[in-house]
Amino acid sequence: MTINAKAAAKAKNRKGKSWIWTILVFVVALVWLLPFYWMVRSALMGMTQIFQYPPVIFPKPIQWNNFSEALTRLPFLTFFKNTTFIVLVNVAGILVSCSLSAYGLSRVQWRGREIVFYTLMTSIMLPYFTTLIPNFILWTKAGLTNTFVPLTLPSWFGVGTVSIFGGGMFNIFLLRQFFRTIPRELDEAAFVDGAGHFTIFLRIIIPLSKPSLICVGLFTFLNTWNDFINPLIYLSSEKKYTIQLGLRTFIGVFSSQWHLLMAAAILAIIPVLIVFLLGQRYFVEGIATTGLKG
Amino acid sequence: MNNVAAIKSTTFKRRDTLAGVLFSLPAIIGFLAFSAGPMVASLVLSFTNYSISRPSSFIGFANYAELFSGQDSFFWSSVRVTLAFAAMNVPACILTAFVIALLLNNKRLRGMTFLRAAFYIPSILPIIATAMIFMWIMSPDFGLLNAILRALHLPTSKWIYGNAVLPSLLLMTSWCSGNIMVVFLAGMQGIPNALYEAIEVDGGGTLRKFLHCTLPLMTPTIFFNTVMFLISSMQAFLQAYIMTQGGPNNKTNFIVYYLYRVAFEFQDIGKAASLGWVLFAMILLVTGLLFWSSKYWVVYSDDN
Amino acid sequence: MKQKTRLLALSMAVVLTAALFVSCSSSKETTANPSGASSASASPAQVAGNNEAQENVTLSFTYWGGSFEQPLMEKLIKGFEAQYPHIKVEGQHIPADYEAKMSAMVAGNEAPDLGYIRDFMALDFAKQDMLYNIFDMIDQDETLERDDFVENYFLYWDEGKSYGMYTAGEAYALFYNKEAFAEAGVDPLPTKIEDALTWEQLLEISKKLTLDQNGNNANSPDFDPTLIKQYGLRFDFNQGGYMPLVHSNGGAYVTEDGKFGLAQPEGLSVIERMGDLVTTHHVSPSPAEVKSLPSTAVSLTTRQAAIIMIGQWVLLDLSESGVDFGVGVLPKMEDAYSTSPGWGTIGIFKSTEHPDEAFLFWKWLCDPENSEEAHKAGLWMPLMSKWYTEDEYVNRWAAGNQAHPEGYIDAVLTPAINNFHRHPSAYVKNFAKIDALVQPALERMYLGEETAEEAMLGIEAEVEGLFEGVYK
Repeated sequence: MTINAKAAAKAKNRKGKSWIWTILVFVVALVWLLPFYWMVRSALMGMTQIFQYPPVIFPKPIQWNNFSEALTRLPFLTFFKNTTFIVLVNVAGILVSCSLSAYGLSRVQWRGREIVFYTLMTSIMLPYFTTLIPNFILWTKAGLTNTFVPLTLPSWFGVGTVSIFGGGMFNIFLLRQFFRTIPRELDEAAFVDGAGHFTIFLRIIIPLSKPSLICVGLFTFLNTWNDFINPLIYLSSEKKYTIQLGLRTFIGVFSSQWHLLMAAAILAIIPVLIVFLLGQRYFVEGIATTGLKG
Repeated sequence: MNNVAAIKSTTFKRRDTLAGVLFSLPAIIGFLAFSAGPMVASLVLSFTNYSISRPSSFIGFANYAELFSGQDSFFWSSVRVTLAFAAMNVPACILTAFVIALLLNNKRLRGMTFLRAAFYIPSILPIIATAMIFMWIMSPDFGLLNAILRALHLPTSKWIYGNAVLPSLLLMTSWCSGNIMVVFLAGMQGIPNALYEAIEVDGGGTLRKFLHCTLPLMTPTIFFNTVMFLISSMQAFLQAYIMTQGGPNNKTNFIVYYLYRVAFEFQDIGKAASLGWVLFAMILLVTGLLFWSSKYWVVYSDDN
Repeated sequence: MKQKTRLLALSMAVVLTAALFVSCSSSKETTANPSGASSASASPAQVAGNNEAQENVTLSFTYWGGSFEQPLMEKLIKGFEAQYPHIKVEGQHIPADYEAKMSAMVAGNEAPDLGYIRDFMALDFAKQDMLYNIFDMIDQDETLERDDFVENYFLYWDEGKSYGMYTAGEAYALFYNKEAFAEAGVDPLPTKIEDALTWEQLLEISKKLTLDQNGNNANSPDFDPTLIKQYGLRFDFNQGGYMPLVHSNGGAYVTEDGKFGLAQPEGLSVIERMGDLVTTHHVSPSPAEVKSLPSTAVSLTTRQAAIIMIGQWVLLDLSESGVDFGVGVLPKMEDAYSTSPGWGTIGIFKSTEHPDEAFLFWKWLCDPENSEEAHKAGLWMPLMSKWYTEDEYVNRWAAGNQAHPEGYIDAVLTPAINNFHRHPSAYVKNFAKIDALVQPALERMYLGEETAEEAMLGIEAEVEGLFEGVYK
């Protein structure tokens, strides 16, 4: 066979394989979405239908007004404003403080660096509820309960309010890992050229870390958006409540409105989904580090 | 020449320590201000019988003794259950997330946006809604899963309501592993195309690309995800709180859930603090092991 | 040195931003209403015509509840504020983790002036002298007497000392789906205590009402217990489920001589019979099935259960769903008969700076006049006695509306004041820890892993080791 024919055959083979692959992935995706579909269908029916057996696959009739009822039963607009504020401040804080800290803890060589890193890591190994009361007392003494400060200030210092995923150390660790995949030669070349740490940080490391920074932003956004326990503990006037607190209200002690809960939950993820869709484009474009030139 | 180089290197080192500390300053201040204080406070509390209502006094190691001596009938089973869950949860979710990320790392795939959203949506749903949905579809009598199994004439299961509770929870947690998948995806996207092309030129196929390029370069990310997810799995709480209330028969009485009950239902904050610190020690140990092992399998590009 | 200065500049910027942030939020905080202990702000005396100079007072009040109770509570608060213009009430609705938040608030010295508290937590607080003795306050009040309230609903932490009452009256009864009954040819349940069913009779009825996918009831030889689509009887697995029956049978949670009542013959036989409903007769769902049907009321509506044994608060959901339901009196075990209340109570914290105003609000909350809607809707029962004894008041809530069908008065109202026993959580010390042993043991029984005897006797020693006595 000539080389051309071989290449053509290979290309055709690849195309065929790619179709099979596409179909397979789509099927998996659809099955994957099944529980989510269940949520959507539950959001569109009355309570009685949700629990009927055999399970009702398609709501009859479709109760679109569940959405409007969920939004109006409680002041969700206020909740939305509050949540947005908290989340945006958190994301900004985390991006700034965690990237700086991660740089210091990975790209700079200094004695004691690893000890500091591991000590910081221990802060996420203690379960949240263990320090709940001391934390609360701390903020009470500062007179800052029922404000947004306990929910946002820690993010500016590399300590998220959300435990573990989305919290400060999570992001610092993540960025540290990514920073370590960047070849040292780039730094050294820049040093030789007379650049200082800050220039390297700003001009080299940050641009190369766009996917991981977007990750960090996304995570912080998501986890702060879905954070329930911190607003619950620190906020007391309903005017300041967040979306998650509103969602929980649909689960009462004596009676619950599951259909409204599901409807409100679906509405609640829309902003996060938008942020994700905007951000994931950067994953696609990716960063093409073609060479080791500085 | 030698002198100049020597001088340059010492000033370099001094500046580096300063630079290192300055850059890390936000995190250090944050730790001291927001974490260290409460951590120390809770450690002190663990040596007391502090309860919000009653007057408290130092009781030394009594809390810890009560836990380890078997006087507390829930403790050891709680430890077992927590470790069992973490041991199952971490591989299940990391693997699921990694495989999906691999599937989605294909630029030639059509409908990429839809696919990525589809796999990611589960992890952004409010946990309360997700938990309820899974409780309903796993209902032994009236749930969707058993209905499907019956239709296919397969044996049904009690899922989270019976002895298969821990594996059943994995269904839910791996469904929600979209956020881990995203981290993997970001890592894979960061691998330069040039490396893949190099293998292709050498005549290597997909498998070779995976084994010699993707996998090794992904080890930092895998390591990261594993550590974080392990720490988080050992602190599992919400599944027990929302879905199973520690049951059936204490099979999901995770340490953090038990801690919560001890603190706020039994009103024994001191003992709850000691539980927290025991878990801390466990996590520290396991994480330490993982970190130590990392030098054997994690590959960094920066020669640290 | 350029990059060093840059570095310093950056760090300073970060710190400055943070400082700015804190100061901004602090000023925000001073304009917002602070939570916690009430604050009295100086304000001019009331308008001419009123000789008293009344300071403006703000009370903080915490409560739980879902999306029905919450607007209801807001209305209550507004009504109160209209009546007493100088008092403002900040209602803090806590949607979940109530005990955690309450604990944090109390530990941080930010306890509310008054609030909902679970019975066992409140008793603990009261014992530690953190709540007011409500009797002192009632006795000092000119408009109220102790007799105005239903005696049963007071919770005592010590001889003659009570910190308050339940958030509302409640009682247990049987509720059934009339359609399911008609189809199975079963007579409606009796509503008068004299006519109450025996256990065997209830079991018989439940069997007729338990249907599998193929329509066979539990009496039929073709009955398939793995394919049940309608359960005859559904009950709770917590203290509310078994205690009314245990008391009916002459048993108790803690006997007079300090033994574990559920391991004694009277208590044990009830537990055994309830276990049999699940494991032997298959007329009741086990904890496994029940957990996935989150709402008892809904299971009646969807006919997944034909009869439910539950507190009367379900009337709210049942009437809203439009299902045709009836009320029946609980079964009689021996000759006695018993019903039980809820477990939410209201307490006034001694840390309040405004006990008088707090008491005013407490009175408002406890007077059914102000929350007639909730009573009519079936969520609450009154806390004041005349609403049970005087026809004019009874008819305002317990009759003539969708939520209260025929027979309600006999089946629910009368026992609530005549045949009433409190839940153990309202008088047994250390209840939470004891219950943490009892619940899993019961679960083991319901799952068929142990018999009732094995389960209860197995924990008997440990439970008795945890006994610390009773309140009052």
